[in-house]
Amino acid sequence: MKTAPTIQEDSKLLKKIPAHVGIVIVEDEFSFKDLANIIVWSVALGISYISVYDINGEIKRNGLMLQRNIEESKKEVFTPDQSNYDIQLFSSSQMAQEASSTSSDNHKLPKARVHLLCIEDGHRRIVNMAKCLSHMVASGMLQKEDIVPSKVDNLFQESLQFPDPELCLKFGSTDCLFGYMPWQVRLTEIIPQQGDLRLSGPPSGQGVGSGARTRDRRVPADLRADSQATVLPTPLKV
Amino acid sequence: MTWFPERRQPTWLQRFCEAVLKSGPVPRHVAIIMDGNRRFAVKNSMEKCEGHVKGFDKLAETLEWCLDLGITEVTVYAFSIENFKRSPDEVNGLLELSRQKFAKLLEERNLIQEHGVCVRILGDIALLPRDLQELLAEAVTISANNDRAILNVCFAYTSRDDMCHAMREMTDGVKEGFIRESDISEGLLEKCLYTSHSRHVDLLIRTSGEVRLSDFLLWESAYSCLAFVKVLWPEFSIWNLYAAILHYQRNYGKIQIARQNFMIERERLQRESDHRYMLEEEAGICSKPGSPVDTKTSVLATNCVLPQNKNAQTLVQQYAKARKEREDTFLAHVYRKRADFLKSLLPTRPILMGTPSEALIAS
Repeated sequence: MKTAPTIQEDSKLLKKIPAHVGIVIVEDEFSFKDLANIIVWSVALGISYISVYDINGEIKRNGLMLQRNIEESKKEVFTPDQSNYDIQLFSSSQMAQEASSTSSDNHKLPKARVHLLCIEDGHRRIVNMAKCLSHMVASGMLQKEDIVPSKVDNLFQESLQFPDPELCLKFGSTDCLFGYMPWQVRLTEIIPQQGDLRLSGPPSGQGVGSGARTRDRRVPADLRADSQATVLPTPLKV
Repeated sequence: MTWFPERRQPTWLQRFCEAVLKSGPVPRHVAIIMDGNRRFAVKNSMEKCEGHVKGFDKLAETLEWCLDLGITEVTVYAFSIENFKRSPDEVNGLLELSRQKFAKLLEERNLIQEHGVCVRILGDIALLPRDLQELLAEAVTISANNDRAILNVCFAYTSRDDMCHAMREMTDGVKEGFIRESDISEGLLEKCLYTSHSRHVDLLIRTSGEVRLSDFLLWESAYSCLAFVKVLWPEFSIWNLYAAILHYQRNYGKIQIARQNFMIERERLQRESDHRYMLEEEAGICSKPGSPVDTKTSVLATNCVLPQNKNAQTLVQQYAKARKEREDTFLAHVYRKRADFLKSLLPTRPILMGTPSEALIAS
């Protein structure tokens, strides 16, 4: 298992680290352990926002299980003496109030936020926004002319508390976003991870920033993709 | 080059592939981000504008291929609102190219009618120069009744702008009393988008190896098959199209199921919402008008107010019917506004729909 220092070493080789990475699971079967590993590696790489989406809300319902797996994974990736991270899980329905901190005494640790999303966080959020805006206009709190992309986007970011994802890792063989945040995926690079979510982790001793080939399926390797489309695996071989 | 190039005889291999593909599900509506014109120009040491010209020629060719395969609706991203931010030279070049192409299309009006192609423009065309707006409006008007194939051209378009436009439309609707705030739903928002008259997008193709949607059909493509193709748009070949369709067929089953579930869930939500607001309405009748009602009291109130011979189900149906009527009136109003806007752009001279003689008969 790759540990945090090597991942952080690797991150220095990257030109740019995305602030928000979306993980979209389009697979019926997946392992919470692998998902937890991807989240922890991403956090070790310096990514502060992660959203995890599956259309059925399987992951959202099993937040506790994911959290336990994240704890396990953290133990393997971060050794006790080095800097750790406070990984907080949010299921967007109860957003801000129910921040479940991974442990009580790590206020000073750098924070990473993981948002668990499902179909309800797709089109429906846009409709709720429309209702809300209509209400505000009707009650004179807002001008109709203020309903423009930049302002509406600010409102979305305020309510969701994360920036738009720069990168979306899609696990599973179907090339479709299945309703993953239509408003927010405007400029998101969509990187398919062919095959199932059973990753063994980056091999030790090999820098993720070096020698990664286009077919490399492992997550940290693909996180480099934010700056260059040329290294991406193509979903469609023509 | 023309919008309707001379048909080239397909080779036997093409005909064979076409037959094989047609034995499976073929997408009815394909959306294309025609990316890579500029890179193509640089690669072949041409002017950027020339790259765009090549891109247009490819579009005419692709439409032909699509029709042969049975793809009856194609939506292309011609000009994004973001494109206005490019260098003035390039913007002017792009607008000039569009001017020429749409003027050409109007010259070829006989061919449009012959091919039965309906051209629609999606986007906020008020952002464009007036003369171009007029050309677009005329192209849309003369082809409006064609139904063999539909070509949607996204012009001065971004998806977020479209969604905001729909939100403003519904806000107006609420303010003007056409609809209630509670009538705002996924279904209604969708019918306020520029794509309101289009089928569901089955397949979205983006060329040039870019793997993002770039503010194109964000709402509409959430349950579409995505195909990111590596070639630059002017290099896009019939084989690339075949491959994309094969890709669609491989993904078809899973996406279809997800989309069906999504539609069922949407209907369930609508019924739930109708039920809730019906109760609130009934409670409103029961309690003092204007006093706020929460759901708990409204349930109690409904029990007291429900007439003996009516059950909740009938009331929900009645409510749904009334809501549907509100929506229909509202949408008719929205579409009329759009039609009037287009009409205002039309030239004062009589519009020739087909050959001059036809036009004479029509007048």
